[in-house]
Amino acid sequence: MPLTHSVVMVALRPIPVRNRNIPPKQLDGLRPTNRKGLNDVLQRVLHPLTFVQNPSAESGYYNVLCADGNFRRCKPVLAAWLADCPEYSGLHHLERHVCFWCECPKYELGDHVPPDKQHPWWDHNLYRTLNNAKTKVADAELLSRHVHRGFTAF
Amino acid sequence: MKTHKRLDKYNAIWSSMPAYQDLTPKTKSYEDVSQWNGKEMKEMSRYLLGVVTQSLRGGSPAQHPILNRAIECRWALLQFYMYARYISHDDATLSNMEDTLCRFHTFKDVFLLWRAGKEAKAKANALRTELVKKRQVDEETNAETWTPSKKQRKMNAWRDYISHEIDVSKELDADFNFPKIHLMSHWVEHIHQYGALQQYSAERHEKAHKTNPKDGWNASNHNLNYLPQVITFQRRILCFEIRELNLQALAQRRENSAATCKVLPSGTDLAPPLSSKSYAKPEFMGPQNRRDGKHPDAMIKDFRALLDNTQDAMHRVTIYKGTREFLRHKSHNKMYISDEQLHAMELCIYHGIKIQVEGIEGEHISQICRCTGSQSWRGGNQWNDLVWVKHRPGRCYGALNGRLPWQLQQLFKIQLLNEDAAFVEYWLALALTTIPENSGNLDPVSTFVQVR
Repeated sequence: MPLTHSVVMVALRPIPVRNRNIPPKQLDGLRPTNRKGLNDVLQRVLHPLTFVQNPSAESGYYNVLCADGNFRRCKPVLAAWLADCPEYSGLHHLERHVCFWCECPKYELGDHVPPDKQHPWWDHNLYRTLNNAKTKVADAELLSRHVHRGFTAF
Repeated sequence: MKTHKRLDKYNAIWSSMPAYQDLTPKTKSYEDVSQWNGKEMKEMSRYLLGVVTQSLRGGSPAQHPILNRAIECRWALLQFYMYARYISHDDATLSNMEDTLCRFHTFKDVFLLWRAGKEAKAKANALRTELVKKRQVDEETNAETWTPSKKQRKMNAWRDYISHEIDVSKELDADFNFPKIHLMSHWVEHIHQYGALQQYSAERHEKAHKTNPKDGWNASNHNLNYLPQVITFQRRILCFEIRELNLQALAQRRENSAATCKVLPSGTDLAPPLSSKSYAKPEFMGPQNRRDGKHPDAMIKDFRALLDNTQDAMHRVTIYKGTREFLRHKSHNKMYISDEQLHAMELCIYHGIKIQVEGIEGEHISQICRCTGSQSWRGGNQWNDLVWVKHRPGRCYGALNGRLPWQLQQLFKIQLLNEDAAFVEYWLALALTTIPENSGNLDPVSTFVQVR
């Protein structure tokens, strides 16, 4: 069980206004904008933590006072996510009510999947490529995998 | 439960669950609880299967297969939950997790009827309307030929047929296609890759959503630039907390290096920990001491109050004798303690003690030993727990390893002046002793050690 001190607030993310006060037609138009806003904010927040985009030896490094009293040269790197199911769907730019671990179809979520017959995992590089292609075929492929357009966060 | 008319029985058994050890007493029936928190879920997992099994006992032979499948399904799910809460795993536990999940999926169809969504229910209602119309047509067509008894039989047959068809329709359209049930199939894989699941619990993060922004907002000046203030406030609080923890760790290290042995009044020693790990100091339940070192006002009692709380005459004599011997042993001039001095002595009576012990998985868990003396606990009977006491010094062999279960009778704290005129606190306990039968060897039939 992680401690309370393991959670550090680094930023407050803007959230959209409550959906119940918005007409359904307007809400459908707002949803892609909200997703894009979330994606842009995440990209900006996580940019300093991505090692690939800052490969030089000095960028992002700073001195950290450790528990033993010594200073060490450190660089924080994004290693993993820890979130609930709705947040995962938002982070991975997925549709709601789908598995964020694998590409299991919605109509097979209730079936037992043995370990040797698991569905393929999400491939973020593939989605980024399909998103950048901006063709109807690529969009249809993204839709069939329950992924929204505009995936750029990772 | 409602379908098989077991809901009242279930609620009655649920409400009668005793508040054993750290279980919370039930104030509401199962139906009245609208939201479960994490602690309640953990507690519920310990007795849910027993409650369900007892509630579903009996019934007609036609109900037995359904009820048994429901019990099996819950059993498998609870087993999976228990395995998932392990803090360390090996191939055997992961294999068992897989097996229990497979069993759950095998038996989960018994709950399929209650997974029907809006569409399935609408479809079932349409089917019901259609079948009712057919029944009316059938009734009107044969109104002249049917006798009253035959009509009654036909109507009963129609009723059973409609009910059956609606259930079948609902079951065909219902499913378990929601992410949570699918994610369970990834847990074993997740444990293989990243370790036990407990370290990835999102409870703390979700709790932080509740407190962090609100505290920061309340501490800010509520102006337009409140966002940096919220972040700075939380960072400052965290820095103070981390520094406090570091100082506590340093102080604890110093205490451990100068640890001293405590002596109990009866001359026995507390059972040492089984492993080399040091245990946390026991926490006595009740108000803390005041800053001036005196007992808290609410708990100040005298010796007579202690005796009033002890109904047994033998226990009173033991308290007199044991406390007097202890005071004499601890006082620097070894003077005799008179009855007047003993009666005027200030003490605190405690009704429980919280101890950190090692769980099955090696984790540290808190256990509560209750000792209410002759007083009742929460309006019920008196509650005096049994504790393990090492009655023989040194390393012992045998089934009990030199320990015996003694029942606590009184738990109180006194303060004495030492040679430096400083107050020193001592916790004293009166316990009912036991004697092992058959020289402490295992009983051949029950394979337990019996004591009396």
